[in-house]
Amino acid sequence: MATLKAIATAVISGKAVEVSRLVEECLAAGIKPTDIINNGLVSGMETIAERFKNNDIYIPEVFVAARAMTAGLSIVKPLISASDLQPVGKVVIGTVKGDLHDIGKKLVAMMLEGAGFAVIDLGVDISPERFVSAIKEHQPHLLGMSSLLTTTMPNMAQTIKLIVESGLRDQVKIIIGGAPVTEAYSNEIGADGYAADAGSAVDLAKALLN
Amino acid sequence: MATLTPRKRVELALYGSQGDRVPFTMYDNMIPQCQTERELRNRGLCIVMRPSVFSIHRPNVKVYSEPVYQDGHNMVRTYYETPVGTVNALSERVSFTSWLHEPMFKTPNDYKVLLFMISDEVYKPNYEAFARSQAHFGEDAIFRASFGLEPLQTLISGNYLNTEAFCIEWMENRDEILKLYDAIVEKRRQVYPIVAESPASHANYGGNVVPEIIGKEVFRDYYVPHYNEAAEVMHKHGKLIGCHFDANCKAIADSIADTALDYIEAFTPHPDTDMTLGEARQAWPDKVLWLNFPSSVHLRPDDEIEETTISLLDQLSNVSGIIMGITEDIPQDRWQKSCTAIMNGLDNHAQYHPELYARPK
Repeated sequence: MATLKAIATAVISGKAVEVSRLVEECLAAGIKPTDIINNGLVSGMETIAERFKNNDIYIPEVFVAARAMTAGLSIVKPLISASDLQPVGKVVIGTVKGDLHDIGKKLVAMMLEGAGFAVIDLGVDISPERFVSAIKEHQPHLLGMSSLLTTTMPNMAQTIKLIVESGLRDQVKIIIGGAPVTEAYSNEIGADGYAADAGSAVDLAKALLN
Repeated sequence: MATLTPRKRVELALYGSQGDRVPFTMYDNMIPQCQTERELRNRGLCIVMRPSVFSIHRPNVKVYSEPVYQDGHNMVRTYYETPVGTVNALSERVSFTSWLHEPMFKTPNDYKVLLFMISDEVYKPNYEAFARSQAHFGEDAIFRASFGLEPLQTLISGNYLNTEAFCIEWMENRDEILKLYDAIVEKRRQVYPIVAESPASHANYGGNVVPEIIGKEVFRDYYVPHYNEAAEVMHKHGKLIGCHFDANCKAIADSIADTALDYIEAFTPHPDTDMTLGEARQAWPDKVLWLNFPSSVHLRPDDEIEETTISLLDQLSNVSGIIMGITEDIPQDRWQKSCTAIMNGLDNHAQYHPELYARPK
C-alpha cells in the first residue's frame, strides 16, 4: 500500500508519474489530503531543500523534485477546502523590470512552495506597477524581487518606492535577492531582508513571518 | 621601465608580471565613445575587443526569420530548417545583447535536429579581420579570441536549450544530452588549432559556469578535460587560455586549480560571489586573475568604490598577474563616476605600495 513516506521518496527522486499514482492510492486508502501535502509532498521537498543547501544535490534535482511535488499537489489541492488549506504564508515573487533572468527566482519560488508557502510567480520583467497591482490582488504576506543585473537593481528601489506611495508598505514584507544584490543594498532601499540563495530565502521568509 | 601603453600594461599582467599599476580593462560594448571614455583611456583604460577568429557555417541548414510582436516587445523568431526537421527560437534584441525567450529545443523530438545542426557546423579561419582590427586599434586595446562555450555549457546557456530545459533533460534524457555533448566535443576539437594558429595571443574557452547547476563532479568530468585539451594546443603555439568564471566558484575552486588554464577571466570577488580576491589567489596561485569589479559596488558612493578597489588589492601580498576589469553592464548614470573611482583606486594603490610595482625609468 502507498504510504506518505513513499510519496516523499518519490518526490525526492523526482518521479512525477509515481508521485501522482501514490497520491491517488493514498486518497483511495482514506488518507487526508492535508496529510498527503504536509507529510508526503512537503516532507519530500524539505529533504530536497536540505540536500541542496548542503551541496549534496544541484538545481536539476531540485527542478524535477519540484515538478513531482507539483504533480501531487495538482491532485490533492482541489479536494481541500480553503479553510483547511493553510499555507505557511503567501508570497508574490518576480524578476524586476528589464531583467529576464528566471532560474534563480524560479528556484526560490519552488523552495518556498516546497516549504509550504503559497507562491504567486509573476515571471520576469515585472514593472513596479505590476508588483503593486499583484499586492492589491493577492494580499501576500511577502513580496520577493530578483535582479541579476546592476542595471536593473534600481528597479527594486523603484518598486519599493511605489509600494510606499501606494500605502501598501505596512501590509507586506519585502525580500530581495540576485547575484549583485547585497545586504547593504537591501538596507539602503528599505527592503526587509536579503537572501543570498534559495535556501536562505526560505529561512528568511519564515523568520520574517514569525 | 618606459611608460607603458594600456595594452602593454595588460600584457605584462597577463603573462604573470605587473607594470607600474594594475591595469584596468572594459569590454568594448560596455563603454560608449565620449569625453569620459577618452579621459579614461588617456589614463590607461584598455578596451577589450573580442572579434572572432573563425566563421561558422552550416551548409545544410536553411535559416530564416520573421518579426514577432509579443507582450509589447519586438522579437524575432528564427527557423532552422534541416533535412531531418525544423526547430525555431524566439529572441529579443536588447541594447548590446540578445535575450532568448524560447530556445530551439521544445520537445525530445528536436534532439535529432539539434544533432544534425551541430554536426553540420563548418569552421573557417577568419584571421585577416582580427589582425587588421588589432593593428588599426593600436595600443588602447587588447584583442582576445574565443573557442565558444564548453561542450556541456553550450547546452546550458547557448541557444539550443535554456537552463531549465537542460536541467529537466539532464535528469530525464541524459543519453540524448550526452549525444549532443559528444558531437560538440568533436566539433570543438576542430576549433582548437584554428584559434591557436590565429593572430590572437590569448583566448577564452567558455564560461558563465554556475556550480549550483552542474555541481563539482560534472564540472570535473565534463569541463576540465576540455580546458586541458585546448590548453595543450594553445601552449604548443605559445598562446594563453582562460575561462570566464563570474559566478560562485568555491565549490569548483579545486577543479579550476587543477586545470591548465592560464588565467581566470571575469572572476568577481565577494560581495557578489562566494570567494574573496585573497581566497582566489590562494586557490589559484599560478593563474592570472582578470577580475570583474564587483557589480554591486558600482551603485555605492564614489569614495566607497575607490576604497573597495584599494581594499581588494590589499588582500594580496603581491599584485603580479592581476588585472582589474569590467565585464558586466554598469547603470548609465553610474559608469563614468564608477570607472573613474576604480582608476583612482588603482593609481592610489600603486602610489601607496610602490614596492609591489615595477618602477618607471
